[in-house]
Amino acid sequence: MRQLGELEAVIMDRLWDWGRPALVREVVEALHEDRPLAYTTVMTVMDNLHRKGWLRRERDGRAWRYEPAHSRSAYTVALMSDALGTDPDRRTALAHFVLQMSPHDAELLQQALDQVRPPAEPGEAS
Amino acid sequence: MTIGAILLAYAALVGTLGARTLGRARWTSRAPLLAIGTYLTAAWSVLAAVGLAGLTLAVHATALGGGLSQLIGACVIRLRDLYATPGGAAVAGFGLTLTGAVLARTAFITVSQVRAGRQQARQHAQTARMIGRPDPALGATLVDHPQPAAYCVAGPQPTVVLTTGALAALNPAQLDAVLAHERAHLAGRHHQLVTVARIARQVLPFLPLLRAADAQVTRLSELHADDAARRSRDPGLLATALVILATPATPGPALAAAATDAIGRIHRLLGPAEPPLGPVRRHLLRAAVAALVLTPVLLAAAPAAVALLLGRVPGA
Repeated sequence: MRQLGELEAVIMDRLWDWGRPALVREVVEALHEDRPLAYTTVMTVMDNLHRKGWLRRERDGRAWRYEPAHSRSAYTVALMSDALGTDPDRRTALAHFVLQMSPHDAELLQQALDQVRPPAEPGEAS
Repeated sequence: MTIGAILLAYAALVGTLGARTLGRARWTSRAPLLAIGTYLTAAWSVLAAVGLAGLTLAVHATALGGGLSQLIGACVIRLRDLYATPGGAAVAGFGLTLTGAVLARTAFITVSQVRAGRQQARQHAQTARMIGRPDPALGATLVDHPQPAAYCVAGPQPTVVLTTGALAALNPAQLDAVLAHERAHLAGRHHQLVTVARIARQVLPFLPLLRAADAQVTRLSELHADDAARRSRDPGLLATALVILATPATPGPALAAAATDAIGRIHRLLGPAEPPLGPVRRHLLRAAVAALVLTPVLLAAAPAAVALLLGRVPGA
């Protein structure tokens, strides 16, 4: 299960890098050097990715050509807006080290740090 | 006076004044976990009191008024005075409705909260793993984004997410402290504590204590994770990392309350050390927590227990 999840990420990586629709066979060949995988394994994983909405596909003769449904940067934007969003009810499952602040608030935080931080040892600067 | 009214008064009292009492208490930041326990217990004690109040009002008009009274005998008259309320059927109907509404609301909100939280966690962790790359040395998933951010996703696949912005901005020692803080969130199952508080708030959103509990459990879980991280690391690393990660790389969403809480954490990390709570105060607080658990139950059960006891003692 864990390995399949990792394989999903590897395959998505390749398809994002290529930026064009690809056949299962092409993916198998591209991955062969790093990890020789059975055609059916790759096909199953890509079919799963299609079912989960990560890949879209269209017919090419008797095979399918797959490509990512959205660009990597689109997913990144969505992920970060989920993570950095301001709706606390959307953040139950996430625990941040600290939330991003306005520049003004961040400045206040810096001042608070400067006030309480013990002054640097004289020898520290050298 | 009826037991039902006493229970409702208890809920109103704890539900309103409890927020101020706990909000003013200075010990909460010295014992964050105990404070989380106190907030959660108080919040659920209020919910239980409202639910039991309804049940008590209903019981008066049905079971104790009818068949059970013959078993218990004459004492039920005295008992009735305790439970007694005018307009039997109407009160019983109101009581049942109240209990039913609280139970149904709690059940519905619990299911939808837990389900939504799990789904968000699964989806978020999966997306992070797909677009990011695992860094086994750090035990985190790296996501390519300029905003410095570090957070963890609870759920079936607990994941610590770190942006490349955070990786670039923090030095290795700060990074190690931040990761220790995040792992403490996961190890302490803080997301579950937050969920328990959020459910209570959503059942009775108008009570100040339940709103306070939701906000405070989140804040206190940060303090608890800070404590876990500083146990083996220099607190200065956490304090400086706080400023770095709070500073926006680009203008983005910002939360008003975030600054106050973060400044509080800096003072706590680097200010004059607060002595830990002594054993006596800890025991007293634990006793108070136990009292919050027991009060609604005892209030609701006391008259019935007394009646059963008296009913069995001949001539009582």
